[in-house]
Amino acid sequence: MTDETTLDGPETDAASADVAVSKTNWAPTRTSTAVVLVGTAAGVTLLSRAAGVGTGVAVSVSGALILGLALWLLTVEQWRAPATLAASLLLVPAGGAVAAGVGYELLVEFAASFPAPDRTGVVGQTLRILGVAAVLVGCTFAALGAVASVRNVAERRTVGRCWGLVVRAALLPVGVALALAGRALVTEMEILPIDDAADRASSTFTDAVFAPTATDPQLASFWVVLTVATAAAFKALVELPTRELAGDSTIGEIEVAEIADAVERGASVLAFVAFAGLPLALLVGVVVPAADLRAGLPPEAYRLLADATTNTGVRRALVGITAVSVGIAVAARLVRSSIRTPTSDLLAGYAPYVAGLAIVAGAGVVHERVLDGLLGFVAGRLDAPLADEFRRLSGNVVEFYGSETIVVGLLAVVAVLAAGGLFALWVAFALGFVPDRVGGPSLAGGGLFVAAGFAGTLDTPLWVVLVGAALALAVWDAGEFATTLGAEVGRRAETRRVELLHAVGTVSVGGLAVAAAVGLAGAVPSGPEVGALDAAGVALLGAVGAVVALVMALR
Amino acid sequence: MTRERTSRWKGGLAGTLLLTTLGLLYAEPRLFVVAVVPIAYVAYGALSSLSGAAAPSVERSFDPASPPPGAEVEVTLRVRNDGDSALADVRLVDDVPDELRVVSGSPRAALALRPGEEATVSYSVVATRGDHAFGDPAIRVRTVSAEDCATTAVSADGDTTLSCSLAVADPPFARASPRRVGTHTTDSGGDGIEFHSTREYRPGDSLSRIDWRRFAKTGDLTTVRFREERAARTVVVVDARPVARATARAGYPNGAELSAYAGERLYDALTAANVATTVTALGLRDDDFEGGLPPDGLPWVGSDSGVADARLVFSAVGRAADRDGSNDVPTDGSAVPSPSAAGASADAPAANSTRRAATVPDGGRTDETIRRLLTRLSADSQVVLVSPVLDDWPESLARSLSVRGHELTVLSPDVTGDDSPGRSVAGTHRAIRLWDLRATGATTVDWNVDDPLGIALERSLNTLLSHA
Repeated sequence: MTDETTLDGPETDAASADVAVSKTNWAPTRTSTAVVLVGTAAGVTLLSRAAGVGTGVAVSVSGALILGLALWLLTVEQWRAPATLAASLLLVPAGGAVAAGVGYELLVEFAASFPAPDRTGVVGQTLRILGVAAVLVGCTFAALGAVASVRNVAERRTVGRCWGLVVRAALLPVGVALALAGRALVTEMEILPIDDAADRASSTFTDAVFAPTATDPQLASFWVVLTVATAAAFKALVELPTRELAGDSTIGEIEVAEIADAVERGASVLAFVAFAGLPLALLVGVVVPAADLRAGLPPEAYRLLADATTNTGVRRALVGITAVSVGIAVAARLVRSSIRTPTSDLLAGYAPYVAGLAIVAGAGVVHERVLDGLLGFVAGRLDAPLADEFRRLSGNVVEFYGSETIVVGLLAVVAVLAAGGLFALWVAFALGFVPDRVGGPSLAGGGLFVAAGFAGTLDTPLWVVLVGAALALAVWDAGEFATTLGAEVGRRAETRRVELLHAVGTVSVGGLAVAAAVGLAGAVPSGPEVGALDAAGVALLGAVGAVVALVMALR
Repeated sequence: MTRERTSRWKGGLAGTLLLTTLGLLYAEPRLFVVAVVPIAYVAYGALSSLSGAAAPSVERSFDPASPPPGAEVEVTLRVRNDGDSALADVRLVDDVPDELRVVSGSPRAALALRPGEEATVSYSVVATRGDHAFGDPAIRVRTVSAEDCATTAVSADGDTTLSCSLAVADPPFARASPRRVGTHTTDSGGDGIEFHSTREYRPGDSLSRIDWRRFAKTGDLTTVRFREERAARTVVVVDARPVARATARAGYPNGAELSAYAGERLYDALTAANVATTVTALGLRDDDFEGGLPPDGLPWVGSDSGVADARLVFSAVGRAADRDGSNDVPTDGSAVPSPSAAGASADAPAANSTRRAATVPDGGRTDETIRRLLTRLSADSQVVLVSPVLDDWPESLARSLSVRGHELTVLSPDVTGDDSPGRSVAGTHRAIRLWDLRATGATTVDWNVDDPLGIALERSLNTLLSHA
C-alpha cells in the first residue's frame, strides 16, 4: 500500500463499491461541522447585534442560506433537471434577500449619518458606513460558508455553474424588463417623430415586400425576396434528416434517398441561380428607369415582367416559404443537436430558461400586490412628510411605467446583482483567495474575521471583537479539520473523540488568547483619538510586528 | 515514514495583517490588541510538533478465521500506543483486498490514544473464494493542532491472509439448465416413434413398417410413417457486423462484444448439454480470424472440431468488436455502411434485403450473406442468432430460414438504452424489430444488459433444448 494515495482518496477502499453509501461517506465529518455551524451562528449573532445591524444581517443571512441550498442542489446527481430548476428559482430570492438586507441597513446608516457637520465628519461617517457594510457582508459570507461546508459544496466549479445558471435565468427577465420599459417610454412620452418614423418605416417595408405598385416591374425587391426564399428552402432541405429517416425505402422503383438528393440538388441550383442573378436584378431594378425598360422590351414581355414581379400572391408565398423554411431549419438543427444528448442534460440545460420564464410569469401574476406591499413598507419606514412625498413620486413612476414593468425590472436588477456577486465569488475562487478544497470553511472563517475586524472600528465592546476573531479562527479550523478527516477517513468511521479533542484544543487556545488580549488592553487607552496614536499604541504595533516576524522566522 | 508540516495557520498571518492595516487606517489601537488572537493561533501551530511520538502498533484478527464463501468475517484491528507521548490524532486505513467487500463498519478510523492505551477498530467483509492477503495498514499521526503530520505503513501483527476455500467445485453453468439431449422433431414422416401418417406401399419400404392389420382387413399394402426425428444441430451465429458495434454508453461494451460473450456462454452450455453446435460469425475481416477466413467469409467451427477452434471464432469477434470506436459506428439501425466500408465480404448491405425478402419468397437469393449462410446450413439445423438487432437484417434472415424450415432463436443484448431521445427512438425501433421477428415465427430473448446473462441464457436454452 502506498500510504500517500490511500489516505487521501476514497478510490481504493473496497467499501466504495457501495456507491450510495460512499457518496455520503466522504463528506466533512459531523461533529466538527456542527462546531462550524454553532460557531458561525454565535459569531454572526454577536457581531451583528454589537454593530447594530441585526435586522439587515438576519435578512441577508437568510439569503445566504438560500444560496447555500442552491449550491447544494447543483451537486445533486440524481434529479438533475428538477434540482437545476429549483436552484435557478432559488437564486433570485437569495440575491433579493442579500441585496435587501445590505441595502436596508446601508440606507438606515446613510440616513443617520448625513448631513455631516463638517468635512472631517464626512470622512469619519464614510469610514463608519464602510465598517457597517463590511460587517454585513462578512456575516453574509460567513453564513454562506457555514451552510456550504456541511457538504463542502462551495467549490469553484459549483460557484461557476451557479453563475452560469443565474445569467441564463436572468436573460429573459432583463429582456422583458427592457422591452416593457422601452414600450412605456415610447408610448407614454409620445415622442411623436420616433413613433411616426417607425410606423412609416414599417409600412414602407411592408409595401415594398408585399404590395408594390402594380404598374411598373419591381425587379429588385422581387429578386431579393426570391433569393432569400430559395436560400432558406435549400438550408431547410439540407438540415432535414431525410436520408436518415428514409433509409432504403422506395417509392415504386426509386429510392426515397435518391429523390431527396435530386430535390436537394434542384434547390441548390435554384438558390445559386437566384444568388448569382441578384446583382444583375438589383442593377436593372435600381439603375434602369422603368421608362427605359418599357422602351427596350416588347410590350408583352414588359407586361409579363411587371405582372410577375408585382404579384402580391407570389410574394406572400415566397415570404411564407422563407418563414416555414427557417422554422424547419432551426427545429431540425435543435433536434440534431439534442438527439444524442442525455435527456437529463437536455432538461438541466433548459431549466434556467424555464426559471426565467417562471419569474416573469410570476411577476405578471402578482405584480400589483408585490409592488403595493413594497411601497407601503418603504413609506411606513419614512417620516410623515417624507412618506407623502415618496407616495406621490412612486405613484407617478408606477403610473408612467406600469407596476408590472417595475416589478420585472426589480427582479431583473436583483438577478443581475446576484450574477455580479457570484462572479466576484468565482473570481475569488479562481484567483486562489478561497481555496477550492476548503471553500466553505474559508468563507465562514474569513467572513467572520472580516466582520470582527470591522466591528472593531465601530463602537463595539472589545470582548465582542476578540471573541468574534477567536470564533472566526476556530470555525475555519473546525471546518478544515472536518473536510480533511471526511476525505481521509469518511463519515462512517468513529471520529468523534478525535474531533472533540481537536476542537477543545483550538477553543482553549482562543480562550487564552482572548484573556491575554483583554489583559493587554488594560494597558492601552481605547477610543478613537483621531490623528494621535499614543506611545503605547505604537509600542503595541511594534510588538505585534515583532511576534509576526519571529513566527515567520521559526518556520 | 513521511513527515509533513502543513502551514495551516498561515491565514492567521493574513488576519494579523488585516487587523494591523485597519488599526492604522482607523487609528484604532484596539485592533492591534485584537491581533493577539490570530498570532496566538499561528504560534500554537508553529510550536506544536510530533517529536517524540512513535507510530502505534497494530494487530489484526479474523473471526471466523477460515470462513465458507459468502460468510461475513469480522476483521478486528487492535491499535496500541506503545510510545511515551499521547497521540491526539491517529488516522488508520486498513488495506482490504479489492475482492472483499466491506459490508458493515469501516476499515478506516480516527483515534486518540494516551500512552499505553489500546483501541479496537472492527468491520465486516464478505468472504469470497480464495486466499486474500491484507496489506499493511496506513497510519497518519497528527498533533492536536493538526499542523505536524507523519504518514507511515505499519506491518500488522496477527492474521494477514483470509483463506476461504470451497470443498465442492463451482457448479458449472450447464447443470442449472435442463439436461435433455437435443433431438429435433420434424414435420416430415420417416423413421421415428410417434405416428405421423400412412401412405400406400412403395417398393423398397421396410417390411417392418407395413401395416399388416390393414393388409389382413383390406388386402391393400400400406406403409406407416412415423414422425421423423433427427439429432439437433445448433448453429450459433454471432453478429459482429459494423452496425452491431454500437454501444449503450461511452465506456460500455458494444453490441458485438456482448454478442460474443453471450454466444460463448451459450456455446458452452449447449456443448455441455451434448448438443452438436456450430459457431459462425458475421462481419469479420480476414485479419480478425487466425489463419484467415474461408472464401465465403464465414468461419464455420463445430463442437466436433474442438472447443479451441470455437474460441478462435469468439476471439475474432472480439477483435472485430474492438476495431471501431463507438464514434465511427452508425447507431441508427437504418443507416448501414456500404460493404467496402465494412471490410469483409460478410458485411453485405443488410437492410436492402428486407423488402425484397417480402416480395421474393427466398430472400436469401438477394442477400449475399444470407445466401452463404443458407448454403452452409444442413437441413436439420436450428439457428441461434446472437445480435443486438439494430437493423432489419435479422428479420430477413428469419424469413429466409422460416421458408427453409429452420427454427430460429434470437438472443439479443439491448444496447439501445433510453437516456437520450435518439436512444429512445432506437430502442423503440429495436422493440418493433423483435416483434417482427416473433411474427416470422422466431423465438426472441431480449437480454437487458443490466440483468445477469444467466437469466437470458436460461430462457434461450429452454427454447433450444425443449425439442426432446
